[in-house]
Amino acid sequence: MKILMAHAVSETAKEEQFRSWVRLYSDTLFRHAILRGFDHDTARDLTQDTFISAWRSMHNFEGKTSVKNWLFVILRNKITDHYRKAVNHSAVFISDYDVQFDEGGHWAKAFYPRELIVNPAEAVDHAEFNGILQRCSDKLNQAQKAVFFMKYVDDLDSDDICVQLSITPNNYWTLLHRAKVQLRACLEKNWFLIQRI
Amino acid sequence: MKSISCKEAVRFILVKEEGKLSVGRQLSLWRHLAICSLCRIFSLQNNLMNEAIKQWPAKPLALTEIEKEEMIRKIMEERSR
Repeated sequence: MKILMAHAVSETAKEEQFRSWVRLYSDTLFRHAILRGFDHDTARDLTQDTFISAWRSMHNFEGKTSVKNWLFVILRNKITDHYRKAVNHSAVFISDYDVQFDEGGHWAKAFYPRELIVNPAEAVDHAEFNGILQRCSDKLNQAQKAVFFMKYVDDLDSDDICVQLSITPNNYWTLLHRAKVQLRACLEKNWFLIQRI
Repeated sequence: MKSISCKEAVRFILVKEEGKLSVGRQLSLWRHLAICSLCRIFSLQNNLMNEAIKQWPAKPLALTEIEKEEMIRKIMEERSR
């Protein structure tokens, strides 16, 4: 009986502890996921899954790192799993991108990059510009998003990304190439043209 | 030296960003950019995108209180499984 009660007490304490961690760290974890190209709902689910895994492996947590770091390690693994599945399941080699060049590899006429008429220094600090860039990145397919965010937001090297996603360097460069060309076209449509008027 | 297409030039620009473009290819790229204004524009806009990405996030992001409570409820539910 005593043992049972002690168990109940520690369960309650654990629960309280956990509630406070969710309140303290869920926003940071959520933000981290959003910045890796996930929409609101997916980012929230990833955050939730992180806490569920943390709950299950709580007995392994020895306090050698901070709680926050421990949660981040779990979240990063979940994100990598998510990316890897996306890359393996999506049609990596079919995209709008191919129409942007003709057979000879020259820019197709409809996709000629237009002159840059914004001051780069201003555009970068411009909230609207950043908003458009983020919305454009939402339109990339899952596989392109994976390499794009790992490279530019996580600042990972192509070799690391290939290992983490189990793809060849050739796949990697193709995905990145397509992502950038599509992103540029989308930006031009939504921003560079506004500036012309 | 073999001349390259715009499609190849774009790829070379991205590989160069990572410092992984061979000297021979750098020369090919340089020669291509010297004669191709379209790829020069791409290159400039590519730099602009890279700079802008560093400024993310544009807006503060957070979960609502309701979402957090719902999350706690689901986590507590999961532990019994």
